[in-house]
Amino acid sequence: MNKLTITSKGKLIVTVGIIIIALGIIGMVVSYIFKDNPDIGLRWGIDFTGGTVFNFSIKRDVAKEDLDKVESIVRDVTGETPSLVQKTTVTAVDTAILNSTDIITVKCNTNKNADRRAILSAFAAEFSLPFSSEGDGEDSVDASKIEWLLSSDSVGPAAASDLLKAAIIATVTAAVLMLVYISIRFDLFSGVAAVVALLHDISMMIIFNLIFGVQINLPFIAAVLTILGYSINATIIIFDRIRENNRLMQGATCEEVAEKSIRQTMRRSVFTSLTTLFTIVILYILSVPSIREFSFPIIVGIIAGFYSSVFISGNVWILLKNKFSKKKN
Amino acid sequence: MTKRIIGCVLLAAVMGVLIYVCFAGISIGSFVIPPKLGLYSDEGGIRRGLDLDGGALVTFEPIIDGEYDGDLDANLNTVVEIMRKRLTNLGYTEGNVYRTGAQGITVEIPGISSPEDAIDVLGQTANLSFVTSDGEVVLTGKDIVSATPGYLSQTNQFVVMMKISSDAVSRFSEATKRMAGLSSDKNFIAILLDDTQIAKPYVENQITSEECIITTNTQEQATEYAAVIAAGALPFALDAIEQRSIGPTLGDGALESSLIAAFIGLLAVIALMIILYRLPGVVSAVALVFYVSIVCFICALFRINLSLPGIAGIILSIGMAVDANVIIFERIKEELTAGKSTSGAVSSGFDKALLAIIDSNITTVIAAVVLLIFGKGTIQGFAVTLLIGVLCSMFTAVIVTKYLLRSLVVFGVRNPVLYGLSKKNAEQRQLAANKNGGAA
Repeated sequence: MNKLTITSKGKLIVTVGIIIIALGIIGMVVSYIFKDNPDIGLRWGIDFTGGTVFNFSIKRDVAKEDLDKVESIVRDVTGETPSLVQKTTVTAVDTAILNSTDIITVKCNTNKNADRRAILSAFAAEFSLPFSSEGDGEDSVDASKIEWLLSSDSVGPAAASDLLKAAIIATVTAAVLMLVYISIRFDLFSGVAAVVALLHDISMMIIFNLIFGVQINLPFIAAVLTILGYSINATIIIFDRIRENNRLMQGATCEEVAEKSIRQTMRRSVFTSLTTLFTIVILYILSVPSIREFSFPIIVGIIAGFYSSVFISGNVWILLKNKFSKKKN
Repeated sequence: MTKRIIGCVLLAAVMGVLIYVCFAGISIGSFVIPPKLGLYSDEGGIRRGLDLDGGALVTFEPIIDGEYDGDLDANLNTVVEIMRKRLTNLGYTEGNVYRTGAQGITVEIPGISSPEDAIDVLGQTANLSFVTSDGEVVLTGKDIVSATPGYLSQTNQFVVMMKISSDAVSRFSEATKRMAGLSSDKNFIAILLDDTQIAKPYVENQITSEECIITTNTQEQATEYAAVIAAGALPFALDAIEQRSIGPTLGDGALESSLIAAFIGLLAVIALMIILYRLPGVVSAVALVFYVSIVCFICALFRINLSLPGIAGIILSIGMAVDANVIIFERIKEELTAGKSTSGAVSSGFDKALLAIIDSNITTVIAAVVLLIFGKGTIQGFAVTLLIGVLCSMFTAVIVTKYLLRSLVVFGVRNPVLYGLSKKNAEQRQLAANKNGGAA
């Protein structure tokens, strides 16, 4: 028998995992309470707060003063300081037209049509960009094709709170369905262990988004649900082995069975995480801001998912089994 | 053996045809998939989502205080009609209007990045007018004093009882006199919201008073017409609750770079699999190419609306598709190390891995279905491609890989080292075999 290197540190690993989950939950709750304060907690995007985000190019590289100008333009129009003004570099733009890969991202609280028009027209005046909003209906068709405006998204406050509700319901539903599925296919201990691993992964995604200031919009929820489905794969593969080895290794302790199962499936856990990581990192590098909001948390989730499947889920299972199961070896 | 050869040739042929169709397109009668899956064509194949093409998407919702007492559903459908006309009038003939959710109306306008002017026009309250069959506008919303639904017991009919202002009486009287005198298919005064007709009552007699009656077919219709006529417009205003637009510069670049990302991702995974698993790695690479061409073909066949998150779903699924192969190959390796013959190891490797593969894919299916139900817009696009990806990968990674690997064994490729057995183990096995042979 190999030395029990993974399971002997079980208590420590599980404790650290639970601390991470606690941090994630605290981060989420604090961010939710201070949802309207951009300086505290997660950077909620307009999908959940309402407001408008513009991504635009000024057809040259962006300097610090440009960002200050953008900020004051938005303040003049809306009466509020924009909650976000930043420079981003994107590869997926046509530099022949835009002259630079720099773009400016600005987020403000208004979602009024007139405000949007006023802001765009002021940007155009400030940075000498073509824009025309005057004229009758026929002219407006051409005026609306502004090539320096890469994207503009606007969500009303009521729609935003509907989206947030749907996102929470979707995440909870998915997590409960996973718990039910695993409890049926394996046992309740495995189900609980898998959910602890999932909570760990989601917490890591939240913590990393907090640290790196990545916006939380609908794509983040899609990322969370994808990781819910993905990370649990590895956990299932391990539990599947534990179930098989339980039959083969009569008289062995939970620790021995789990250790062996985890080791047997280790190469698979590493390689599958690697292939998926490869593709998603390439997507992250070669993509636009809206997809980065999705691919960044997925990258974090895949790495966290690897760690939690291998190190956390088995150990939680052992703790539960030793504590509650009457049939001890 | 012959059957296996025919099978492998067939498989190769199917794959060849799929790949050919994906690049060069196909046209059989009315069924057409343009070259490159229709990604660069509007004739058929994959539809580009607005975020790839550039364009704006605006969702309107009615502003309603408290309980709405009219027929909301019918009124929303009227608004959809009105918006279609307005969109065409603005010159956006490629536009699209449809209902979303319980009371949303979504307008898609391809090719524009700043829809502010269009939103102003589209979101205006529609205006009521009564127009005679010869085109004269007799009444507008401001001429209406009241309109209430009612019931005529003597003729057993539901009606709208309408009262107009005294200044409008002479105009209405003159028009109804003219209409009543016309032949039976021209004697009507249409009731329009903007340019959309909501009712076409026929004029039986000249109406000379401030009050008149419009007969309807059902009680609901009477309530509906009365509400619209009384408001002098649609009985609610519209609010643009959501607006998303992607400029043409970002749209083009996004499609190109996503395709490049998909291609590099595919190559990277293939390289990794071959390095890690040698011969089975090559087999999984073939299955992976098969997988990608099936997914592309299905997307083109069902004219999937491909958005950026949709492409992300496909790219992600390329990495996930080989998971089943990794599980199987690891099992085969273990069985070989345990001393099984190559043929036995391939068989039992598949059998033992199958349950785990199904289990693990079902959880991804659960996640995708939840997203499909609760998600919105482009997120649903992601869920669709992820779902297609998982289901197709089950087929290619399990069935196709199994068939190819079994065929290799049948064709005599049986050196366990090619299937992942380490050199050291192989030597030991050889030694043991020699020893046994010598003893016997």
